[in-house]
Amino acid sequence: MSSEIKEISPTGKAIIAVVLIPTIAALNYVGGVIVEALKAPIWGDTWATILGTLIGGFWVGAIGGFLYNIIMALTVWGLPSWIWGFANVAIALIAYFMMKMGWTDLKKPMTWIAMIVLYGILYPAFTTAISILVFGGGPLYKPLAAAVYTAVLSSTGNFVLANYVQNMFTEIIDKPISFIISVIIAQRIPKRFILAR
Amino acid sequence: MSVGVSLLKKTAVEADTFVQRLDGRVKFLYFLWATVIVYIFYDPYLNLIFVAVTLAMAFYARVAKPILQTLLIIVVPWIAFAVPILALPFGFPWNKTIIGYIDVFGNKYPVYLEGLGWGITWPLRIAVAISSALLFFLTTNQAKLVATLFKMKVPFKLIYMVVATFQFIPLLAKEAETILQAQVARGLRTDVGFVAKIKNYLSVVIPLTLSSLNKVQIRAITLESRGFSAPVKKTLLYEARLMKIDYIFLSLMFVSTAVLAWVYVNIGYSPIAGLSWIWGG
Repeated sequence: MSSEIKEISPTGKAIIAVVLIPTIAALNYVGGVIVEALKAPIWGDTWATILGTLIGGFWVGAIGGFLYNIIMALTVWGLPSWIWGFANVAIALIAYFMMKMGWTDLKKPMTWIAMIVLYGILYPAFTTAISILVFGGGPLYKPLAAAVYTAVLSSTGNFVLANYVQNMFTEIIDKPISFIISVIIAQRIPKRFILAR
Repeated sequence: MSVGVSLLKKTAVEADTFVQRLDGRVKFLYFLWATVIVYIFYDPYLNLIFVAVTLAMAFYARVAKPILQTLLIIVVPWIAFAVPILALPFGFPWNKTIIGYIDVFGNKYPVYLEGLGWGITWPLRIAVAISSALLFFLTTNQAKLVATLFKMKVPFKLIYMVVATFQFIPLLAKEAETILQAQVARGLRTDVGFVAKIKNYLSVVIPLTLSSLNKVQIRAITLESRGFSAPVKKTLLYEARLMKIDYIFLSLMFVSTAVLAWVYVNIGYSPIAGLSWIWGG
């Protein structure tokens, strides 16, 4: 008998994507819970969106991330938080852009530059717009971020700048780390799950 | 385990009250309606009334405890941070009306109405949104949820994704807990620095992701074998239909909307607190 093991995949890519999307949404959620358990200094609830984009393409990552926000908005966070789904779409878009540009090799300096510029500086401008327009801006209920907000507000009196710096302070660490985590995991995933070309 | 997971582990509470008997679409409409109303007005007292009404229904439906826990974890700390930072002279640009002074170590600081109003009203808006959403989620079982979404013409694949996410979250949370315990048993230290904590995070999420991706294919095969993609009309376990109680509830919402519209036009956006409008508020 031949010792060769042949993998059989009787299902189409469309149905794999349909099952992959809720898995991405659930991984985002559980990622946030693990962060709480380990007391890691990140949010940890967007890496699966990036991972979904790297393995399933833009739509799998974006819909998985958006779905996560919808579930959270319908349960724990309150309806207006559904708008953060667009932040997950932006995250997936940046990941897709970086993937297409070949900036997913962590040994290349360009990957690190793009990661910090796109996720650490550009992306917070988007989240600042949402947080002011939908949630009125204001301090986060994380002590360090709230302290940064207060310092910028009291020294400049600029409400928008205080919100931007507060968001940048949290995102510039969280999102690049999430990207690195996703790239590391994506490298370890069996080829049969990679739907993205 | 976080309140979020313990909450999403809960299925709907089965009790024979009018809240459970209400059609899912009516409860979903209440959730949307209450959220929109508190965003149109700018009044913390009105928000409190909505929270109180929703909590009263939640108590009656025996689902008040998880809702109160969530409000305590999300809304109370938010108010606790926002009120002192915005109401005291830390530069909130719309502050102008002094309502009193606070004595800190012999120094007197003014307390501003605009910052205080903002710091209470916005979190309470979210409190209304959270409590009404949870009332819908915790009193509508999954079969009814599917039927509700189906009646709302949501595509079947999207309905599957929503329901599957609700099912996957507790499963993955349990698996993550098992992986974490296994890693701790083989020497993973949790009282470590910044970089080591990120490494710890990786040591849990890599096995979790690989294991959940392995299950993706099994689930896909199972769905196909049950004719998920078959081009036939889908049937449901539960048929959603509006009853007398749903029409009574909808009528109450309609009357309340008419009263609130009158209040908005004749008294204003802040009828009880009398707050002045600030940008972003």
